[in-house]
Amino acid sequence: MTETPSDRRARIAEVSAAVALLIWRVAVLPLPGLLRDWVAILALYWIFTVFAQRSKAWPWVTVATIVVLGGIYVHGQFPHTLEILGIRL
Amino acid sequence: MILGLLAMLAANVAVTLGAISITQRLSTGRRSVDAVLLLLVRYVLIAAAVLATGLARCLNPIALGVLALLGLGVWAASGEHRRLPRVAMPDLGKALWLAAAVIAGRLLWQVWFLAPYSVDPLSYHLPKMAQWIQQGALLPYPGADVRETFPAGFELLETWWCVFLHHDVLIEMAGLEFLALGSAATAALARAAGLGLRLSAFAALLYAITPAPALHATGCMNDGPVASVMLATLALAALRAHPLLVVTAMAAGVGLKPTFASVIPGAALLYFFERRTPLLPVRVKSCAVTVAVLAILIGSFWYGLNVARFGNPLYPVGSLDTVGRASKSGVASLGSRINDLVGQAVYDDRDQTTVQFILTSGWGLVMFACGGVALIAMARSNAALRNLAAAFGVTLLLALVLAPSGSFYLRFILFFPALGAIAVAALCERVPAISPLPWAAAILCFMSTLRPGDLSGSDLERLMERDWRSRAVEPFQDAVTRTILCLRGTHDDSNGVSYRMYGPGFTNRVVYLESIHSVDDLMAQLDRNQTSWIFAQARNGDGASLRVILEAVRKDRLDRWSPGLYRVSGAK
Repeated sequence: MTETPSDRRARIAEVSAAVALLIWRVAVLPLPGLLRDWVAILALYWIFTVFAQRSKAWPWVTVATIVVLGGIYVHGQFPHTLEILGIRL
Repeated sequence: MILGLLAMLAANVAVTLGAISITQRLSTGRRSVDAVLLLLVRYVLIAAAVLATGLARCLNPIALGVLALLGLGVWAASGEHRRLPRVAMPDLGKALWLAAAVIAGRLLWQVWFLAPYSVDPLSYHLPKMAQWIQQGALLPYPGADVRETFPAGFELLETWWCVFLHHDVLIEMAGLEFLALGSAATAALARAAGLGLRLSAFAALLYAITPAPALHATGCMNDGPVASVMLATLALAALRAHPLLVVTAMAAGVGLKPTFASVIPGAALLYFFERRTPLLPVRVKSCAVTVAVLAILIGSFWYGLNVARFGNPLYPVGSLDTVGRASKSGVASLGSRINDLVGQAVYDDRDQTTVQFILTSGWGLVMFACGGVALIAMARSNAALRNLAAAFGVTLLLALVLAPSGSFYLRFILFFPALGAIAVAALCERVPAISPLPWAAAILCFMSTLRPGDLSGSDLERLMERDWRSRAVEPFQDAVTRTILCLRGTHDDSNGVSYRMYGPGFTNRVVYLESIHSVDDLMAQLDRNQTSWIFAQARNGDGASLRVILEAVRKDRLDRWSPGLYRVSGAK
């Protein structure tokens, strides 16, 4: 499938937006924080999606991204949920 | 009690049947829009009934029950019962119905066992409602707190659920009604994004278990209801409902809280995006005009009242320096708020999720893990979802700019997870194998809100152990049996949670004091009101009144009974 000029423009705009988000997060966060940063991970996923949404790997990368983000959230929040349930570790 | 129960039943049947008949006249032909309209019209009818009886000084079960019976009589005499639509349960599949039943069961359990617990409702939303029920009239206000003059559209619905039983055991039903509206609106927005019936229902369900709106539904806070009406407004705009219907939603929303206004540009944007799509028809235009006028009257009432009393529709904002200073907003705070939101609050890990939303966003695991990914994946190929994302984005930014200063801006953006829920449902259609992930995330969200973080486990146990008639978070109202004096709250000092003084059955008379000059003045005021109790949590007058009370304690004129509650020494 050939890419039209408007498709190309949209792709450039999307990648630029995702890269801008990444630069913003790199500027405000130290490296360890960056590895678990919601916006940085989403920006990387966005860039991958722009280039590879039609690839066979895309669904798997999507699942992996959801699992990674889920793990980050659960790691921080789940102790509070356990407390709500009356379970103390 | 039995009479009140019967009146409550009759009144709810009357407004529901009335809402069905009106919605039939407004029917747009799209069931998702009609569901939103039904819930919105029910709210407008209830608010009108409470406002009208409150202003006519007959806000009581008998008057409302008689009104309901009259309404039912007129409704039946005009043959409306023959035009009732057949109830056809939508084909959602067993899993969705089961999940909906579990969520509804949990919410009803919370309605029954929770009592108002959050500081804002206890200090300035609910004292006036208690006073309305006691005096059977909307005016005068009790003078509990300088913020009691804020719009009270949500309190009208809370009053509805308390006035018949003269008790607040069902007060959280008001929040449930709005959560239902928010969920219906999310489903309608999902339909606007091109999703089918089941996936739209799935999106609605994901929104309903999102911690923020789920907790606000039973927390007596008005921000969850505002988020619901925001979503309803966006849904009506996205699906090109008649402008009168959009105005109805907007008027209802503004009557809940002025911060609702941040959705108006987003709704206008959706209307603009869909400008080539014909408007959905309205069957009876005069009915739409009537409902819109009624909603405008209800929504603008609070602002008109403030103009009449203080010359400022937003009083005390802009009039009293304390509140004005605390409510300042602006573009300057936007950057730090976005940083805080996406860098910290969205992780929900700084604290248990409370209804105050100071440290956590309450957007939940579905939005965090699945929502952002799904939005990126699906907005690229779904123009309607892109339009929704633009409208939600504009609304989010405006809400962040307009939110009052302080750390509680997060409660003004509770609507946003609905966009994530819609995108997740769309992603599940595109990649069905992903479906178990949002379901698992939804279960974790459900678990995280079994108890609001504002209450400890022992608080909840105590609530469940108490008889429903005396169910309240602080048991000290048992000691107070007649009249109690309270210091008036002044926002920047501290909150006085004076609603607790009324008791869950609104049995105590509460008198608010503007100021106390000396210990002798305090004792004289107690004597004049024939009471030996004073609740002094709010520090009005730069804390001067509270200092007088502490001085009275030092002089053995008062005994400290429990935190904030004092009793005349030696009183029986």
